[in-house]
Amino acid sequence: MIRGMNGQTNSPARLYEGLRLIGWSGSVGIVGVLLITIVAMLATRLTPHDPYARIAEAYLPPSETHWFGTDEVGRDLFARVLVGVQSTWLASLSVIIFSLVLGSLIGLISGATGGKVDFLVQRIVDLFLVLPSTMIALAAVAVLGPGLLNSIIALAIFWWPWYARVSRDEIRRLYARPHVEAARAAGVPGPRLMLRYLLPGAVPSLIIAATLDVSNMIMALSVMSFLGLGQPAPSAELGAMTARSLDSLTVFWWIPMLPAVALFFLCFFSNLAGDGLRSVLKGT
Amino acid sequence: MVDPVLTVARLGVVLARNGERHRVLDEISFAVAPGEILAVVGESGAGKSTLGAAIQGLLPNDGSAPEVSGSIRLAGLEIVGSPPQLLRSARRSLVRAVPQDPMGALNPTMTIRRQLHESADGDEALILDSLRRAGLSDERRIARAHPHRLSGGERQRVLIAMAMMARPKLLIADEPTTALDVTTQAQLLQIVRDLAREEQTAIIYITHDLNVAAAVADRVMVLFGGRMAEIGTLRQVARSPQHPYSASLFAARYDLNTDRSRPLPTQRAAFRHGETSDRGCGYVLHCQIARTDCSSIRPRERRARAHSGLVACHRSDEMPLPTLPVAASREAWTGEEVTDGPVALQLMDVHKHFPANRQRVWESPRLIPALRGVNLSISLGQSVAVVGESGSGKSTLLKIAAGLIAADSGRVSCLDPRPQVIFQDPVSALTPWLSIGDQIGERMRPRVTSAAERRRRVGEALQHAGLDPSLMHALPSELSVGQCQRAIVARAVVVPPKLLLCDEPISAMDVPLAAATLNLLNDLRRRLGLAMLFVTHDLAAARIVADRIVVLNKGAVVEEFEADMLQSPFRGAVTRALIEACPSLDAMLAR
Repeated sequence: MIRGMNGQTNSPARLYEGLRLIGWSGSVGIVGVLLITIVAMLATRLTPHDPYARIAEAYLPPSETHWFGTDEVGRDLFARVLVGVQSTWLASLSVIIFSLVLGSLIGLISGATGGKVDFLVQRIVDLFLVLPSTMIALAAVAVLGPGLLNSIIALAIFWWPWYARVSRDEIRRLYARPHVEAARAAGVPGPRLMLRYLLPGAVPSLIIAATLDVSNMIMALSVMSFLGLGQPAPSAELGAMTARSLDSLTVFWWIPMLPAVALFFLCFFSNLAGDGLRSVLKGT
Repeated sequence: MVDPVLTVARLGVVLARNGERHRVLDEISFAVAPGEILAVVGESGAGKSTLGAAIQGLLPNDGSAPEVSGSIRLAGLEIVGSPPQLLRSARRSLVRAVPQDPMGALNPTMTIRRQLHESADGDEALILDSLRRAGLSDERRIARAHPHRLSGGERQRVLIAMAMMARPKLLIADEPTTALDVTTQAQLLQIVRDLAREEQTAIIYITHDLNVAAAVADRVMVLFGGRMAEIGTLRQVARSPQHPYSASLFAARYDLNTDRSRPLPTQRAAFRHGETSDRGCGYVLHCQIARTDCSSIRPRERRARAHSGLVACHRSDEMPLPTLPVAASREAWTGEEVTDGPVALQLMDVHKHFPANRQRVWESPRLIPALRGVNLSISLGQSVAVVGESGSGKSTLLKIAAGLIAADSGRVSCLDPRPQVIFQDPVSALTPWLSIGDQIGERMRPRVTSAAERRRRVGEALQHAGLDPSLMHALPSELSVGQCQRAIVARAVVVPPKLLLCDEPISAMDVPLAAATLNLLNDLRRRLGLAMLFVTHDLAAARIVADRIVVLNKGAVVEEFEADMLQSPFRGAVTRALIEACPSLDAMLAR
């Protein structure tokens, strides 16, 4: 599908062209995102230390045995950051994928049906979009009770409308194109028209929107845990770890800093990867 | 002889496309004198537009820089290798361009007056005067307007005014009339000629239409695959072309006097990069008089025997060709003309209005009539062309017949619940991510359920349309424009419809491709007994493809006649104006 969008076939020249379009920054981003995903999957197996057990003295600075030092309780900070990356990364990916799928389908139906259905769906989407989604999600978590699963649910409920809007606009744009008119004139039935003639055309924009959105999602999740609405205290969560030890920044800098640096790289790489993908999919 | 304004010597351009480098122009040499109009002709991909861009120092630079060799001297200034500042000032004062797409070339946020002011120094009087001389009689309204308020012809005239205001030495017109109807085109060609004569501006007129070239140019340069095939005065080259490619190009054109009882002569030559070696002649694979040394020794330009120009061919002494360069069979069309078959499409007193743009938010939208009581009926097996200027309502008529929009009033009855449409731009009418076979097979889906049977019939349809059946697995992007158009025709006829609707299917095509498409449509509609409605602004094409011609003006049918009777002295004023606006090479030669 991507191949078709750019008129590319499998040949070395096309592959080279694809890589050139991604550019070095996009390549760094994509490699970075892949590494982070692998690290997130393996997390606990990459370190001998238990992230939840007190294994050494508190406030040890980074050293050979404890690469990131130990925290205020004496837990290994490296192990905790790894587990934090795991939960933050996987949580944000699951919210994004859920929103992407739900939003795309709603947008597809709304855009392809048009008329009153489209109007109604889009006003509902408007309703969601005018609310500050992070704030509302915070309120929802406050009601549901803190916890990773609850924050995922709360964010997912308020995150899809944006994708529905992106998807619907792309579908409307495609709908007016001659090739869709031709498919309609050929008598392609509605569901088939949507899935084969419309949706593939909207996928590049949706993927780009999603990759650039990952960092927003990571921030939203971190804000939640920073405010104490994420996972409860003993669990390792990057935003929460930074928040809890922020007042020791000047003395034991590594305790708040290193989780924050990990967060930074998560956002940074996903943004680079999104930019690279945009270049390939849009061919600019 | 006066010094030439432009002297191009051994110009070579190598551009990178999709990571591959192609030699787009190869050792081109020519000169243009003040006040002279040189037409540059050739099929799509011959390097015509690249030549125009190179002269302005505006070659596309996507990723890797273009390699330019040779020299372009413009009024004493060397363009090749000049620093950007110098090129910028040259573009401001020496060379101006009129592009093909006038909307894309105007800034939608600025009024015409401000854009003219920006483009060349001059006071209000000069701006209004330039607009008037570009044929815009209500210059004050135009100057105040934003581009979207103007028609296509008005925009193109604004661009000519903008170009001429700077009093350039050289004007490059790149297919400026391709998107316009014949009447507007005739007016614009007149303006271009006047400018050359009055201002002594040298003009390079890039076009794929030899009839247009004949209407405007003094000399003609024929390009093939980035190389110059022939250059000389238009009259001489048209009378006795010395290069086999020019001969086939001139033979493939059609106009109001072309024999319509048989297929048009076409030539298959379509240049592809890397098809021939750099050493031999680029045309060798398509040439009927080529010998072995043609593929090993590159022909140099030399004096032509039959005219005062230059030709690059080893065998030009053997011209004219022993036989016409014809690829399709020239047997006359067979099959009786059907006149009393069942009625496939009938429109009775059809009216349609569109809301006009509101000038003020609080005004209620005015309704502008697009069709005013149109009656039309097409029998099965009959082909009817609807011609008219842009804005005459012909596209609206087609959309109503196709059921894509509904008429306000009147009766529309169509024998076929799903008439097929062939659109103007074949590339955008194919879905880029689905294979050709999938898209053609779509029309059989409800009836033919077996995949193997569908594949077989898709293969058949592709063959009908003159394509290799193995192309069913290709994606549209792997096909040329001509192949895309054939694939669309194959999709339209894979389940033969009762009614085939064509919406200006050839207006953006070069002559060989247009001729091939007209032949294909003529062949299929006869073979399958379809009723065909062909919408066009090109009377010559209408005459070739249709049995009956309907002339539409301001939303109403003003005349309806047999295609053979087009040139009868009894034609009404609207038709006569359309006929007169049609540029014709033969008419020029006869003068």
